[in-house]
Parts: sequence; structure tokens; C-alpha cells
Amino acid sequence: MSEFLWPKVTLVMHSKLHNNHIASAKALAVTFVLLIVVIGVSLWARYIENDVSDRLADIAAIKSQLTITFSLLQDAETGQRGYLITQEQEYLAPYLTAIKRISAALDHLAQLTADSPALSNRVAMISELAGEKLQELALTIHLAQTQSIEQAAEVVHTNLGRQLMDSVRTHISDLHAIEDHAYRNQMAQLDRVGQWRLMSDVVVFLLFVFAALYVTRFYKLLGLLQKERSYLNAVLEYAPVGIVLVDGGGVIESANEEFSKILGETKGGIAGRSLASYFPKQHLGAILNSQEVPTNQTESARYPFRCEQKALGRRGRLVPVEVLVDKAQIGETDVRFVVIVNDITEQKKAHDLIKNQNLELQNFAYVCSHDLQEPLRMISMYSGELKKQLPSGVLAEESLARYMDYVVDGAVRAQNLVRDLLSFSRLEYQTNQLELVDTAELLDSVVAVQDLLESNQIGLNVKRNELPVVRGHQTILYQLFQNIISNAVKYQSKERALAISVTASDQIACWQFAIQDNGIGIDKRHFDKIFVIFKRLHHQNEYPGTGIGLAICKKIVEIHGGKMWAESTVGEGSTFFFTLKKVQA
Amino acid sequence: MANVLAEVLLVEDNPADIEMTMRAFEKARFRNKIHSVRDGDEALDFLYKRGGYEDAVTPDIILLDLNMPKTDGKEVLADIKAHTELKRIPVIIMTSSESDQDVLQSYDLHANCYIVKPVDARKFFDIVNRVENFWVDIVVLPSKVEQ
Repeated sequence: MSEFLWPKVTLVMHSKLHNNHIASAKALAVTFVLLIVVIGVSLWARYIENDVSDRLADIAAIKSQLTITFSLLQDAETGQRGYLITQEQEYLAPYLTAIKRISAALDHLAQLTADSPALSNRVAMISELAGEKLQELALTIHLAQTQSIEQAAEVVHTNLGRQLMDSVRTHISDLHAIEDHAYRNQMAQLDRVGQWRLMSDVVVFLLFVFAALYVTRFYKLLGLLQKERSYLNAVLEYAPVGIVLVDGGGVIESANEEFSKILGETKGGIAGRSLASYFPKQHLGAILNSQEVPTNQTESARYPFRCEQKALGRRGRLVPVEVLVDKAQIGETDVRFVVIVNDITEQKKAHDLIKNQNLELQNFAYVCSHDLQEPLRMISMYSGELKKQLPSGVLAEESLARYMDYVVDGAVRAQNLVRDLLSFSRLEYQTNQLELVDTAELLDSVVAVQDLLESNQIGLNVKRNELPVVRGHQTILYQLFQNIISNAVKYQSKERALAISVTASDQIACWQFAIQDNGIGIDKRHFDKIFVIFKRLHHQNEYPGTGIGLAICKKIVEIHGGKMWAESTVGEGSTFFFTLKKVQA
Repeated sequence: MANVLAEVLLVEDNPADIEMTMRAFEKARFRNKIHSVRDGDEALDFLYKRGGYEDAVTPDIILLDLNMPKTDGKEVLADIKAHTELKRIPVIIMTSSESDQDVLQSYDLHANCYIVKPVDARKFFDIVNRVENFWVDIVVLPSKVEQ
């Protein structure tokens, strides 16, 4: 029996894909985490940048507001000085403009710094000092307008205004310093964010590179898959066994060329049919029906499942096949069956042939141990006896002759048996090319030879109907007719003249020959024995012979693919039947 | 014939073997009587007392060859062992055949023993003597038991 091997390549590929699958899953997870980190970094950077830009705007606003406030105070002082020096009302204009705007400027400054207590304290102090300064200015201007310029100058000369102005300047420059420091801090933060951004850009770039590699690899794998798939398809399609893919319900999904060849079907008509329709007799259909698979643990042990079946081909032709069923289950629900079908018609034939040959060999061995043994034992036994008894001279003349007869008889019988056995075993090797044989002519020559042998007779009385031409081996067919005719002559009745009739009747597929005689006949009980090699129905002294004749006849008929049998009534005669195939038109 | 202990039926087609067996039995001719038939058909006629053997005695022992024309030894054996009364008669197969198949088939058909005829005349003689001695002298034969 040939061994089925489900292509290993699939398994290799599966494991390869499986490994790749795991690797891909890991890579995908890492990629995902990295993407999250990159997005996080980006969001964080944007948040920080927004914050920094807000803070920078605040710083800028505070600084500009500080400058504005201080310059308003300076404007107010400039206006006061100009007025005090010139006492001209128009020199008071800068002062008047400044004092209108200054409280708003201070309020704005307080608003801008409200978030930071350190700043807002200083701003409060600035406001206070600015308020005192403005009071001093207002006082001097008032004194100059209402009293005298000297009184105003006296106030100015107290240096209080200058001191207040210096205090305000100090505080403002302190605030500038604080804001400048904050500005630097923010800029440093912006730098850090920039570094993170750069890093995340690098990661994004790497991810792109990785993705590109991955895609390349994916396509490479896809190519490999397609290559292997086409290879596998070729294997499936041109495999010398039928391969069928069946779904869980027993319906054929696809089948290869060989399967359709085995069944003699057209390939198109197979897919979609139920597998059971090709294996109706056995339970193969049931095996494939997943509902009928028992749920216990023996199920896995059922596959692969191997059996010999008869497949139903076209026009009801039964093909002996060997079937291997394997279950391919992917996941819980996707059940498929792979059915491999091997046509074993030839194997069966060869097997039968060998069986027949073995049987013949066995028969041969049996004959050797059985029929040949006896005459040899005879020779050995009586020659031994002669050797022992002759020298003593006590052996009677009559006994001596009889012993000698036993020895000679044994030798002759052994010789005949060996000769007949040889001719029997050689039958098959005498067959060369088949030729057309006219059985009428064959019978003519058999009868002619028989007439020559039995020279004291008037000639054989052989009646016949029209005999056909058959295809066969001339030499052994001659032997067939000769053996039957000579048997008829040998076993003829003493009471009546021998009459033989040879007829052939049309049995559609073959010719059935019947050779009938009016001889002594054969007891019905012995019909099966007469065709057995060396089996005899008569003692040597009645009808001598080895018992090979009909065995040879039967074998000749079988070599030609026919059958042979006999019918007979004791005392009336026998009829030997045999069939020979017709010549195909 | 008061001293005849056993009636022996020899079923054998080969005259040389018949002669040898007869000679071996002759040694003890006072205690046994040998009847010889040439084939299975004759043996059955003898046993069933028909076809010219109407006056035959029922033998106490049967010596049976296997390879004979017409009805062969195995058929005779099967016939005897299927018969209600005859089946008790010890049947000794004496044959040239050494075939395992013949040995087993004979015992399957309830042969009482199976002996391959020796090639040497002395041995043949000796064996037949021993068989005679065993079955006639030592063994209690069913025919000698009061029914």
C-alpha cells in the first residue's frame, strides 16, 4: 500500500506564518506604545508652549506697563518742574495728561500682577509711592498757584519728591529684573520642550522607517505566500492521488484532476456535490458529518482516518480506492476535511495475481510432497528390499519379479508425473502473441491425429455444428481439444461405438463449447475432482494415466479468460463445457 | 477363529504398499484378520455392507490411505466419522503425504492418528508392526466393550 503524505510544506508555512504573526503582534504593540508617547509628547509640548507664550505675553505686558507707568510719573514731574520754573500754564500740560492716565495705568499693572503676590505687593508699594509722589506734585503746584513760588520751592527743596521718585524707580527696576528672570526661565523651558520635540520627531521618523520596512516585509511575505500557494496548488492539482476538500457539512469545495479521473467525471461537476454521493455504500458520508462525530476525546484519535472503499464513478462504475480522511479545524467553527483518494484497481489486480500465483505455488508444493512422494517411496523401499534379500537367495523368483515391477512402475510413474507437472507449469510460458484460431480447423487436425494413433479404427465419429474463430494461443488450444477428445476415446464404453459431438453456442460475450461423448461417464460426486491435478477416478490397471489431462484443459481455458466444467451421467456419457471469449469486432 | 482379536480393514490403492502391510500383519496373523479394499468407494461399500460386500464384517480398526482414485481417504474419513456407529472405529491414516494441510485436515476430520509411510522397507515393516501391536494388543477397542 502506498503511504499518503500530506504535503509537509503547509506545515512549514504555518509555523513560519505563526512565528511571524507573534513577531508582528509584538512589533505592533511597541509601535502603538511609541505612537502614544509621541502624541503625548506633542500634546505636552504644545501645552507648555502655549503656557510659555502666555507667560511671555504677560511678562511683556507687565514690563511695558511698568515703563508706561514710570514714564507717566516722569511726565507728571516734568510738567510740574516746567510750571514751577516758568509759571506758564501751558508747561503744566504733560502733568495734567499724566495724572489723568496714571491711576488707570497703576490699576492695569495691579491687574496684570494680581496672580503673583510677590509682584502685586511691589505694585501696591509702587502705587502708594506714586500716590505720595503725586500728592507732593499736586501740593507744589497748588502752592505755586495760590501762595508763592518760593513756598513751592521750599517743598521741592525738602527732596521728598526726589526720594519718592527714586524709590519708585528702584521698585520698577526690581520688577523688571524679576520679569527678566521669569522671561529667561520661560525661554529655558521652551528650549527643553524643543529638545523633547526633536526626540519625538526622531521617534516618528524611526517609526516611519520601521513601517516602511514592515510593509516591505509584508509584501515579501505575501509574495512568498503566493509562491507557496501556487506551488501547493500545483502539488494538489497534479498529485497522482485524488485530493478533495470538503466542508464541515460534507459538501465538496474543490477536487483535483486525479479525483475526477478516478471517477471518470468531468471536473466541473464535482464541486458543490456531497461527498457521500461518491461513497454511498459505506459510512464515509457519516464520518464527515460533524454532527455524528462523538464529542468525547476519541474524536482526535479518529483522524487521520484510513479505509478502503468502493467509490461510485460514472455510470455506476465501482472503483476500489484507498481513502484517507483528515480533519482540518481552524478555530472553533471552521471545520474542513481533506480527503485523499487513491485508485487501487491496479494494486488489487496485482494482489489477486500474486494470490493466484501463491496458490499455484502452494499447489505445486503440495503435489510434490504428495503425489511425487509415493512412486519415489516405492522405488526406494523395494530396491532396498531387493538389495537386502538378493544376496541371501531366499527370495522367490516370483517375488523378485514383482519387486522389480514395483520399482520400475514407481520410476515410470515418477517420470510421468514430473513430465506432466512440467508441461502443466509451462503452459503459461508457451503463450506468446494472441492469434486468430479457427476451432473447426483445430478439431480437424486433432481428429486426424487421433485417427492415426488408433489405426485399427474406421475413424472417429465426430459430429459438429459450425465452429467459430476465436482469439487465442493456437498451440495450447490444440492441446485443449486433443485432451478432451483423447479422453473420450480412452474412456469410451465397451458396449457401444464411440460418438462425439462438438458444438459451440453463442453466449453474447463468449462462445460456449460443449464436447459430448457416449462413454462410461463420471459420477456426479467427482465432478469437482476431475479438474484437480493428479486426481484420478480409476486405478492404473483399469485406465493408466497421471491425472493431468483435464487439469491442463482447465488451465488452458482459464489462461484464455474462460471457464470449464463438466456434466455427466454414469454409463451414458460426459459433456465437457468451456467458454472462450469472442473475437472483438 | 476364536483367537482373532481384530478385524482390520486396509484401504490402499497401491499394490506394493498392500503387499508390505499384509506381510507385516502376517507376523501376528493368529490374532488379526486383514481385509483389503483398493479405493474409497470400495471401502464405503465394505463398511456399509453393499455392492458385493453384503457379508463383510464390521472392522475393528481401519488403516486408511489418503491419496486414492475416486472417493479419496478424506471423504471416506468424513463419512465414517459422521456415522453414528462407524465413527467409533479407530481410523489410522497411513499415507505418503507429509503435507501439513493433510495432517491438520485429517485430525479435523477426527482421524485417530496420522502416520507418514516411511521410505525404508524395514521401517515400514516396523511401523506397521507397532501400529498393529498398539491398536490390537494394547488399546481397548470400542468393539470389544459390551454394548
